[in-house]
Amino acid sequence: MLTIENLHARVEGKEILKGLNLEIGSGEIHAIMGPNGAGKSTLSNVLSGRGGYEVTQGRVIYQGKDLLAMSPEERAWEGVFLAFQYPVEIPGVNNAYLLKAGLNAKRKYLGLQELDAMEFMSMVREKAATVELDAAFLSRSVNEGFSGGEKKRNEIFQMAVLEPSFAILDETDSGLDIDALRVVAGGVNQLRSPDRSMMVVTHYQRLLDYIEPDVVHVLMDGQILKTGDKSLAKVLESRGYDWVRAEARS
Amino acid sequence: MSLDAELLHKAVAQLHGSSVHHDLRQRAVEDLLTQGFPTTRDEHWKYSDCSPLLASLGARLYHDSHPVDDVEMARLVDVESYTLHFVDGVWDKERSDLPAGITVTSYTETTDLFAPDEESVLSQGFTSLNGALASGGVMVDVAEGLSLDRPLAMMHSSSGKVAHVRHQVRVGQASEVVLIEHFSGEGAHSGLTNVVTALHLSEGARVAHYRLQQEGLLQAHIGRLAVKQQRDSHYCSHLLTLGAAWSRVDVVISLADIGANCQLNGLYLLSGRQHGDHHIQIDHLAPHCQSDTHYRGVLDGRARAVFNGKVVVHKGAVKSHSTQSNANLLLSANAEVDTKPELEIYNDDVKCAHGSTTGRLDQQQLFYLQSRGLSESEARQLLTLAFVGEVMTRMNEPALRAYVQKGCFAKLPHPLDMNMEGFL
Amino acid sequence: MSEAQDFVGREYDAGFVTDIESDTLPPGLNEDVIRHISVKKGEPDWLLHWRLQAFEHWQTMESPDWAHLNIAPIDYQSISYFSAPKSPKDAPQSLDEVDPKLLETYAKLGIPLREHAALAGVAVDAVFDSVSVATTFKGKLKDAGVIFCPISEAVRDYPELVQQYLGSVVPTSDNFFAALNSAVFTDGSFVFIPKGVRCPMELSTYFRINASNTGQFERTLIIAEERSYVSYLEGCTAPMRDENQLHAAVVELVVLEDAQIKYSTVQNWYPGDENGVGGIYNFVTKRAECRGARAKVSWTQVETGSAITWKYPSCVLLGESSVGEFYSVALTANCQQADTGTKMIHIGKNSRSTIISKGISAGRGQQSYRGLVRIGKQADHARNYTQCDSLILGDQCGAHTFPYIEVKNATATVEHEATTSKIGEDQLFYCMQRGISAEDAVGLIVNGFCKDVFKELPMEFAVEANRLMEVSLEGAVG
Repeated sequence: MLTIENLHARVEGKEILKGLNLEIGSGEIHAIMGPNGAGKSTLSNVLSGRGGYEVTQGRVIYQGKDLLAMSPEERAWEGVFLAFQYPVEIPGVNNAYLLKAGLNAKRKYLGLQELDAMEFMSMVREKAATVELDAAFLSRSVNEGFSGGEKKRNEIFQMAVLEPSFAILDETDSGLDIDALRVVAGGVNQLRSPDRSMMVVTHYQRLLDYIEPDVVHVLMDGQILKTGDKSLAKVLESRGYDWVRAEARS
Repeated sequence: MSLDAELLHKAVAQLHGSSVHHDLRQRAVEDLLTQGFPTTRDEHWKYSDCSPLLASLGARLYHDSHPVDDVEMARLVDVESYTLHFVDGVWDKERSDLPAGITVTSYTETTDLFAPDEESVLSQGFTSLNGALASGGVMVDVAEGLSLDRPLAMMHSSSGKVAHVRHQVRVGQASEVVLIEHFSGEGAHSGLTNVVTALHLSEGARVAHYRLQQEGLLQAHIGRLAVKQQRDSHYCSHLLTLGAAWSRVDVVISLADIGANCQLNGLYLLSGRQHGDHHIQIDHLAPHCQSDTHYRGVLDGRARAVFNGKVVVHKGAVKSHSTQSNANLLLSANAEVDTKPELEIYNDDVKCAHGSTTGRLDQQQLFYLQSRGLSESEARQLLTLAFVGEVMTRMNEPALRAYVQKGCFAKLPHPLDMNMEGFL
Repeated sequence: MSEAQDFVGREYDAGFVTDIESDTLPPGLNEDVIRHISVKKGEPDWLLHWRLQAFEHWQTMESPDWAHLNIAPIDYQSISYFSAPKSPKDAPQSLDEVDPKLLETYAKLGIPLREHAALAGVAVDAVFDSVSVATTFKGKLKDAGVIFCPISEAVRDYPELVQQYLGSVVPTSDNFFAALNSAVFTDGSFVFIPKGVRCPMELSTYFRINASNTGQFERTLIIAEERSYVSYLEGCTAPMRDENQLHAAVVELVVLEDAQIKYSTVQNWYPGDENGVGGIYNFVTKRAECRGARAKVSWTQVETGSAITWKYPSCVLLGESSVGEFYSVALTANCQQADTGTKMIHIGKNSRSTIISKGISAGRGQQSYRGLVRIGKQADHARNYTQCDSLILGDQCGAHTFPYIEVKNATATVEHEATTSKIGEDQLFYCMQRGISAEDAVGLIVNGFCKDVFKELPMEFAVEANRLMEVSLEGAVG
């Protein structure tokens, strides 16, 4: 699904990713853990094509294509989805409109018939229910006046509608209480499928109790310093991160 | 009343000073002769008519030969400071109390004159008149890297004369100082204080500036505060207008280099027939600068307040951040407010917001307090204090905050019986 | 990467010229020209007199210079003050007699004048250069007691109404452009809604400048008697020409007790090219007087056209509990300049006003919001809320805000809020991550920004306004 080779990236002239390698297979869920400032958000942003990030070395092959050569919207059409750490408010633009425009642009790109308003609405109503999102949300402005939990649920709902092949969940658990976390994780779990991979970026092990990863990576100093199974997350929870660096150096 | 060129020339000829002073005065005279005094047809004087003032002062505007009355020196009760005293703008050198690192020279003796900025439209006329006729005032030099342990207070007492005062303050690199400019004086006849203060903040300098105007109700007060800020400097002003029958203060800030930021707080409490006009212009000239303006006013009796705040973000001043708010509380049926919060933006990479509100006390809040057992007048008083308290909480020097608070409480109608300790 | 860059290649799709024979006065302005206009229109003496007085006053006035606009001096003697399409007869008596080319022109603009093809429920008056060429649905309106006709016709058929109200809201000496308009106005619409009548359909006037070197000076007068209601729409276009053309209109609204007028404008005069050559100079005086208790006026405007816009639709709130509203979207791209806003003059007790202004500045456009909120001494408990936002696309443009707030009554509540910002790069990226191209994302965000105003427009106009914004935003993304 996704192969990252020797990825180096800079933000405002400062090198954040320093030769990162990662391989994610079809249907797998990979957790990326690491301390603050390790480069977790940079990785999410580089993969989804946000401006301001300069890739200086390495490559990313996604479904056989050069991901880094694509514009952000092309990546979206190819099935890359980023659930934002801080979902953006867009006053006056309602959720349903944004999603319909995004979904139809993707369908057009894939050579599929665009959905009409009726088809679209019945589809999104159904999806909204999966994250316990009231259908009234659809007519509200994108994220405007949403609580933290509502914003994150909205992200997962958008993911359900856009049906990505590769989803990046960037600190989706941050700022959520346990109930909201359960709802969000439930939504994510429903979207697990053999042809959909996910990269779950998180600082805490807590989220991984609900979204069970196949592989856990530790991202530190701009590189993947350690890879293990889900038990690694528990170890990190109890021992912190410093030992990983020490082990990697030795 | 129009300008009297003959009296002006005559008055200028009598003044002492170096050739630098002479040049500056000549330029100011020329400016004044070309533009004259402002009228209500000038956009920035639309709501403030200075013609009655000019008429009542007559020839005294140029040369005031009234003998100096006995003046009681103002004191900032409970505020410890290094102090400079001025009577009708003239520095009383003998009584100065100055720490090391601060050099003070009288205005006519210094040859280091700051470039005049008369071209700014704001205080046209009076700033030029000041440039032409200023004889009082000082040049204050704050050495580099100085962190002053007490505020430096410039205490002005007016005997009711017409005084043109020009101060220059230069704050050295990375210095930190609290500056007080205080104006008071209960003269027997009506005078005018026309004061221009030019402040230069060098790289990394930090200045907290309290400008407290508590002149007598026969006085007129015209002030101009011109601040030029270098890289990463921080300027915070607390401007208080309580006194004078007719006052006008222009604050002109120039954020001249990267990372400079300013915070302008203001409070005007006017009653009777007082007229108070506050103009602000902030020029964002460099990237990454920030300005925040927060002015509040309380108007009672037949008082009239004018507020005009303008933020100009120039081309190239990217990442500018500016907020501005002006709130006015009208306590009486005959009070009046004219407010104009302006933005001029020539750049796309900015975030600016401004707001203005005018109204009376919130009737629901009043009712709430009354239902909790306060009398109507207590409830009014409390809400009014809460309104002005918003500005005072921004003052970081406790002794000065207490002083300002006391002045404000005394000025508000129906002095309160309540013990206000710990109110803020 | 900066997605929100200069507007380039903005196309004006109403820029065609219609080739028809017209009867045009030679350029120049003097008493004889005014007499000529008056004779052409078959006007009564009082109106000629009124015009001449206005002209006399205008000659003593100077063009206002306080706006944040850079205007080359205008030579008022080089403009022709009257141009009428020359039809077989002096004036068309019905649509069948209207020059087919004219009908075609309006069809191109999307305004079918033939009633059977007309938009359901919208009566249209079309003003071509200086003359009203057709008014639809006249019969149906007459049955309801509503008068909707060209003002020149109203002068002939309802002289006492016109004489009573003309100039009563905007006096001939009000300002430079209003005085000029009073002297030389040629046509415009007249609407009268009698007591208790709810106008059965939307009324609409389309203005088009066609002839070159002409000015257009239309005059609109709307009277809503007690308890009546009308929604009036106005659209404007002009051909692409290299020279600047002058448009100086006056609109007067009279609203009596419990009556309501909703006045919507989509102004798409030719804005000039990307170098600032050509375009309409749009100097408009629009004012409403709420003369009775609970009278209500809503101005909604979408201003995308004109090289220069100088326009402040105002409300004089005389009546107790009267209401004034102003909703505006203004877009300046290329070298366009706009100084626009409103005045809310509160005189009546409990009068209320709302101002929502959304300015979008792009290219080398300069835009200013200028507004006055005045609470008079007697206006107890008056309220105003003003929200004034600017969106900046590109680093060569300007967005300015000049609100004047004058409060002389302590029981009033006046709130003003304003923001200025560019389109957030994070908003753009969010949309793009959801699969929307950068250009569509800009359009989406701009439309969202304008939504509070667009929702005030009647349905037909809301669609047009959306489309106009899309056209105007074409190429906004670099």
